[in-house]
This record gives sequence, C-alpha cells and structure tokens, in this order.
Amino acid sequence: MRFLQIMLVSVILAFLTTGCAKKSMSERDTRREQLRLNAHKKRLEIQPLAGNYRGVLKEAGGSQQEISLHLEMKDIPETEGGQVDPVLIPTVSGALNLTYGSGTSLEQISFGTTKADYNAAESRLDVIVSNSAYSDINMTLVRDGDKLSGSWSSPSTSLSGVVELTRTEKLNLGGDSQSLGGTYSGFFLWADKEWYTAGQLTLTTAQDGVDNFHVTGSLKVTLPGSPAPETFVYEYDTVEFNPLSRQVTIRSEASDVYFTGQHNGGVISGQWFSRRIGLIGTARFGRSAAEAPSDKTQASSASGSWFGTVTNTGTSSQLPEKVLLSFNVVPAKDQPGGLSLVGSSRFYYGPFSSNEYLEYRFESVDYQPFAGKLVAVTQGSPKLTFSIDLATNELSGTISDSSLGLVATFRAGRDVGPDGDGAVTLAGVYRGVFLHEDRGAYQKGKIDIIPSLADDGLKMSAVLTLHLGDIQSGETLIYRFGEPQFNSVTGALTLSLPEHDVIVKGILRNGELTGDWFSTSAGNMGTFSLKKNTGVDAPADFTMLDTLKGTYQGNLRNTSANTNLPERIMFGLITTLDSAAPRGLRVTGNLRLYYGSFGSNEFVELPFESVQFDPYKRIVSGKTSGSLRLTVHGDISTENKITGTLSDDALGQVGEFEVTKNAQ
Amino acid sequence: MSRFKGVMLMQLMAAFALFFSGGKAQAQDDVRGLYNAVMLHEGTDFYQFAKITLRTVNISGQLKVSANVKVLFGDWDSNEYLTYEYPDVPLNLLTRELSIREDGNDVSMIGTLRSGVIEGEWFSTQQGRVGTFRAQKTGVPAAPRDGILVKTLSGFYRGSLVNTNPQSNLPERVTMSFVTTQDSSPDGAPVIRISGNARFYLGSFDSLEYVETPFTNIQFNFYTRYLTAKTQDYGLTFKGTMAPDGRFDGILLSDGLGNVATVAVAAYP
Repeated sequence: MRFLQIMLVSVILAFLTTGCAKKSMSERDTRREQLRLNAHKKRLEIQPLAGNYRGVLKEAGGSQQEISLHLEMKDIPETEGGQVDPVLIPTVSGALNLTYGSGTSLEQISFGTTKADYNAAESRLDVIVSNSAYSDINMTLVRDGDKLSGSWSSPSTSLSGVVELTRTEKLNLGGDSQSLGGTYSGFFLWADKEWYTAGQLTLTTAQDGVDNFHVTGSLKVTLPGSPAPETFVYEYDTVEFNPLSRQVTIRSEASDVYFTGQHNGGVISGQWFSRRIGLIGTARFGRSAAEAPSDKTQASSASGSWFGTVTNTGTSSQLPEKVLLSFNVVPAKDQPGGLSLVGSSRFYYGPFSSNEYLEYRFESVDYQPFAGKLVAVTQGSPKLTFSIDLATNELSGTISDSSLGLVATFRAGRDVGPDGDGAVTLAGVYRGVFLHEDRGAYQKGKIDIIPSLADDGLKMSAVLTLHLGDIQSGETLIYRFGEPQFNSVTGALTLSLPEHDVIVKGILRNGELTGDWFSTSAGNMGTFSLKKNTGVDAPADFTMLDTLKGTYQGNLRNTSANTNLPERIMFGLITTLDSAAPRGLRVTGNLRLYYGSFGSNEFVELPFESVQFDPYKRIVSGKTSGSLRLTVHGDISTENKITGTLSDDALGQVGEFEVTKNAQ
Repeated sequence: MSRFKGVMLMQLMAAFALFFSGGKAQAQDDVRGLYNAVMLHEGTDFYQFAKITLRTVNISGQLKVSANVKVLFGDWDSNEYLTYEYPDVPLNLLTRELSIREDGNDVSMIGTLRSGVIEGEWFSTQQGRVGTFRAQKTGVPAAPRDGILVKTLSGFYRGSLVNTNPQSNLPERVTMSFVTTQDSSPDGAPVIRISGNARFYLGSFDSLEYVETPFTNIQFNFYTRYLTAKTQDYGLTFKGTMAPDGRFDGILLSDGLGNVATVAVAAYP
C-alpha cells in the first residue's frame, strides 16, 4: 500500500514537472529536490520507530539492568546545499536510561544518542548512546512490531549482552527494580577463619542531572562484645557503581575497611578488605534480614574483661600465674569510624578476688579486630607487650618484656574459672635460713612481705628478721624496708636501703624466696632460702650461730711492758631489743678483770659505755666508761669463742685475750 | 695385777695433786692473803722481816684493798714488832701497783704485785727511803746471804762503864736487860712496851755484888735505834744508840750531876 502511495506521488510530481516542463531546474535545485524526496522517504521510515520502549539490558554474565529507551525523529538541516533554505533531514535521536527504583526514589543514568541509523529495509537500528561517565554503549536493535531487541556492547567495560525492549505508551522512568539506595543488611565472613559477623551497608543516592546519580555510603561492622557490641562504622563519600558491570566499589582513603562487589537483584555481594591486612573475606547484603551462617562461629571482640592463666617460659620469668586483661572501646583517633581499645593488665598473686595484684595500664593498644589480633604495650616499667590472638570468647598469646624478650604465654576467657586453686599470695611470712657460707654457719630468719593497694598500684613493704640463736632466743636483728624493688616479670626482689647494712636479693617464686644476701661490712654472706608456711631447714653440716648474750671468760696475756693487768678476764654481754639501736639490737655489758679466781670477789668491774656488734663480720668491741678507758675488740667464732685484744687509750694495745662463752 | 695397781695409785695421786695444786694456784693469784716480806736496809747489810696482810672487798665492782703490815724485829716468831694499819691501799689495775701508806704511819711501801709476789720499796717517815722489799705468799723470800737480821731489843746486855764526871764513881761493870711486850695504846693501836733493869756490878759479872734498879721509862726508836732508859732509883738515864747487832753505845746521865759516864754494852751471850 505504501509502495503504491509512493508511486502515485512520483507520478504526480513527474507530471507537474513535465507539465510545467516548459520551465527547466538548476542542478542545485535538482539535488535539493532529491534530498527532499529522500528526507521525506526517510521520515516515513523513521516515524514508526519513534516512541518509548522499556526493557532490560542483559549482560552476558547474567546480570540485567532495567532500561528505558526513548526514540524520536529529529530533523536536522542538511548543510551540503548551503545555508539558505536547507533541506531538513530526519534522524533518529533519543536517550537510553538505566533506571533504579521509581518515583521519588528514582535513580537514572541517562545515555544520550550520539549516532543512530535506521535501516528500514532490515528494520535495524544501529545506535550509539553515550554518557560522560560510562562512555559509549553500542546497540544494534531489530524492530519487530512493538519490540526492539538486539545486542549491546560497552567498549569501555568490555561488556556486552542482549537488549530487549517493548514499546510503551509513556516513557515511564522507573519500574519494578529497586533503587540502589537503601539499607542492606547481611554478614561479613572471614576467609582464613570460621568467623562471621553482622554488618550493614547503607547506600545513599542523589541524582546528578539525568546523566548520573551520585552514591555515598556507609559500612557498619558489628562485633559482639562486653558490655556492649563493638560497632565499626565507615563512611564513604563516593561509592562507585557501574551500571553496566553492576560493580560496586566502596572505598575511602580515610577508612580502613573497603568493599568491592556487585549489585544484582537487590543483593550486594563481594569481598571486604582492610587496608592493613588486605583481603578479609566475603560479604553479602540484602534488602531483607538473612540468617546467620550455621557453619561459622560469631567473631568476637576484645572489649571487656578476660581472666587468664600465665605460663612462664624460661627460668628468668616469674610472672604471677593469674592475669586479668580489661579492654574498653573508644573511638579511634586516626581511623574515622574505627574503634580502638584502652585497658590494663593485672597480674594476681592471689585469687582474682584479692587485692594482691600488680596493675599495668596499656599505653598503646593496636587493635586489629578483623585480623583477630591485638597488641597491647604497658606503660612504665616493666614494659610488657601482649601479642594476642582473638578467638571466639577466648584470648591467647604471648607476653614479652622489653629486656628479656618472650617471658610467658597466656590463655584467657570470659569466666573467672576456679579461682584460688593453687594461687599463692604474695603476702605472708617467708621463713627459712640465711647461710654464712664461709663459716659453715647459718641464722634462722624470715621476711615478712606486706602488700597494700595504693591508688597507683600494688605497694609492698618488707621486714627482714634475723635471729641469733633459736627463734625464741629474743635476740633478733630487724630491718624494715619501705618499698623494696620488685620486678614482677622476673620475680626479682631486692631489699636494700642506704641506712641498712644488709642487702637481700632473691627470686620470689610460688611462695618461695631464695637468693643471695650481703653485708655492707662483710660482703657476700652466702645464700638464703625461705618458704611460706613450711619454712626451710638448714643444711645438716651447718652450725646455727648462737646468741651474743652471755658471759665469756678466759685468759688475758699482757703484751705491753707497761702493764700488769690481771690474767683473768671476763665480760658479760646483754642484748635487748631497742628500735633506736642499730639493727634494733642494743648490746650492753661489763668487763671484769679478776685478780683472784673466777667466782671470787677479787675483780675490777668496768662497765662498757658502748658495745658494737657486727653480726656479719662477727666482731664485737666495747669501750669501758670511767677514768680507765679500756677497749675490748674481738672476733667471735662459731664455737662462741672470742679472741681479741685489749687496748688502753694511752698505752695502745696492752693485752691479748681468748674467752669462751659460759654455758647458760 | 700389782703393776696395774701401782699405775692406778700413781694416777690417783696425780689427780689428787692436780686438784689441790689448782686450788692452791688460785689462792696464789688472789690479791688478798698474807705475804711474808724481807725488807732490806739499803746501804747496810741489815734486813728485817715483815708480814703484810692484804684484805680485799668488792664494792660495786670496785676492788677495795686494805692492808696490815707487821714489821718484825728479830725472827719470824719475834714478839717484837710494830704493826701498822692501812685502811685504803690503792691498787692500779694496769700496773697492779700497790701503794701502802697512811698518814700517821711511820712506814710506807710502794710495790707491784705479780704472781703472788709484791716487790717494791719501803720508806720510813724519819729516814725516807729505807730500801727494797720482796713479799710473797708462799714460803718466805730468801734473806740476803751476808745480811744481818735486825735483832730484837729484848735481851741481856753487859759491858763497861767509864766515869766521866769526877764526882761520880759508879761501878765500871754494868748490865741492862730489856723485855718487850705488845700492848695497846689508849686508842687501841698496838704498841710495844719495853721494860727492863739495870745492874751496876761492884764485883764481877757473876757475883752477887750488884745494885739493880728497874727502868721506869724506856724509849726506843726502832728505826733510829736511839734508846733512852731512866732508872727508877738513883735518877740515872741511859742514852745512846742500840745498833741492829745488839751493841749499845751511849752515855749515862744523872739527874743531879748530869753526864757522869759513857756506857758500852753488847748483847750477851
């Protein structure tokens, strides 16, 4: 029918031109006329094509994108014949819209036609649409009635697929597909662990003209913790979305976590990463809530309290066997949306319920929850580094000292567990023996350790008591140490004060205190060994040092030609406890020189105005009061024998003596 | 078996001796006790015996020593002695030096005590330093080999009298006898009382032809050896020096005539 119409028009035109053929046309006019005829013809061909179409753009990988296509005919003046009265050439133009959502939530990306050519004979439309962001989409469509179908390709993305469109009355932008923007909930999975945790992805779109819409987003990762969950929130100013590949990339320089995936049918799935550790695992988010994966375990956070046991490694480490780690969540200063931890560690000598603990606050906590790791470093001294592996409701790891290196391993859980079992408190009385190694002798002694909890941590004081004779002898040397040096890592305890003449250095280990002790006058005395509750017995071949008090008598030999002292000498020494005296022991006594026999009344008695006793060098010396100033100076043997000299202030040494302690 | 018994017996004796020797040694070392002394008169051959008793008491740890010194004239058993009391004898602890002196006592001694022996010097108020002495608890110190023991005054002396006054014609033979006894002074201090007689022999010494008169007042200084003896009758007074060996040389004075004779007697026999 159309063909007949064309023929009729041609005949009419021919008649008119020949009828008026008396008048001849220029070449230009002829051409113009031809163009006009062709344009008309084209117009008739294109006209049926114009209209609105809706359909889907399917990608070879399976994804599909809702699209709408608007085609119209547009007359463009031809330029060949000049500018005057140009012939209008009909062309196809329009726009391809990729749409999401509808109505007020419509999101569209519009591709304008840059080239279109319709071959009516083949009913084929070749069109190139373009978007400033996504470059070109080449489509080859075949018209079949109200349908357009064909293929498409995107050179910029190397994607291709098929297109299916159906004419619609109106170009209804938006359809059944959901908008990209919205909240997606789902789970994060770990690739190297059997963990999962809940997450939420929120995308916000804002239409940017018709060409595109801008997407921003936020990612929320939630780890259950105590007392509250740890929620990491990351904000992204730009979420990259490629409507052709449907690739979604959520990344920000300021955020540690980023995601790459695809949006398909309202589900966004892909992989999630941490800038620090790289690939973490996969994530899947959908519009509706999903069930947690049953073959995975919920990832755990580190916040809260952890009750652990410590296993010392190596002989130099003597950390207490109980440790309490406490972490609190605070916003990360250098990671927007991230979280960091602050906290402290407590080493307990006794049960967790006791106040006998050493507390070390963490000066830094490097929290990598997605890697399941945590590194905490204590402040001050000792500087301990906890390298912690996070597991579901369990922490484990190592403890290192800045000086000693690896000192212990530990394992901690949320529960206190059987508390008190085997816990040996620090406080108490440690009893045992102090050896005088070069003499083959010993003293019984004890160290009282009195801990107290101050605002800045566990404080300790100690009292050293050394006995002369048996414990009931009443002759004791007492030293008080206000704040002994104690290394909680090695268990090294040092009792030393400038005003004391004894230094004790030992290792405190499970209720035992052993080490070496020193005298400032005699030097290294030997070893000591103390134990709580049970005490320690002396070696069998060692002799207990006797008390100083008693009477000593023996012979005096005059060594000066100027003297004729009695040959029998006795001195009595009395010891009393006096806190004002050196070592808390005051020594007094008298010197007797016997003319007659011991026991007779033929003696001269001279009181000592001062007696000095060095229990470590085992030296006693005393000076008599009154007009006659005699000085006794002697060494005390383990057999209670004193050998020494007698001196006069004016004459110097006047005698030598040897006395033996009388049996009490 | 007998040999065994002999050994046992010897062991017992040794133990016995050891037991007692130990005790004796202790007593030896005591300050207190009786010390037998030999006191030398330096510059002469004379010596005397003395007994020094030291007493000790301990008062608050201070040894207080007191002493009693008996200076004998004659042998150890002579009853002619002078006794001096010293209530406080300082004993130097360093040197064990004893200072035995007291105001009012003629004799003082400074010595050093060593192993039961006191050695030192002795002094008299009239003479000053007399000489040295040695006193010991056990036994007696050895007397000087050629020394002369100061004799007692007691005894019988006879000798000659030479009239020196033309108005006197006393017999030329005279004897004196002295007897010393211990007595107490009014203040209780022991003193020596001397009594005696004088005889003037008109005949020979063995005859009965003599006139005897007791002495009423005899004064004898044991250290200067100066003797004065007044007769009860006839108002005669003997004055002179009785040497330690018993020789008296002096004069005879009459209350009426003054110096009437010289006398020289000696201990007899």
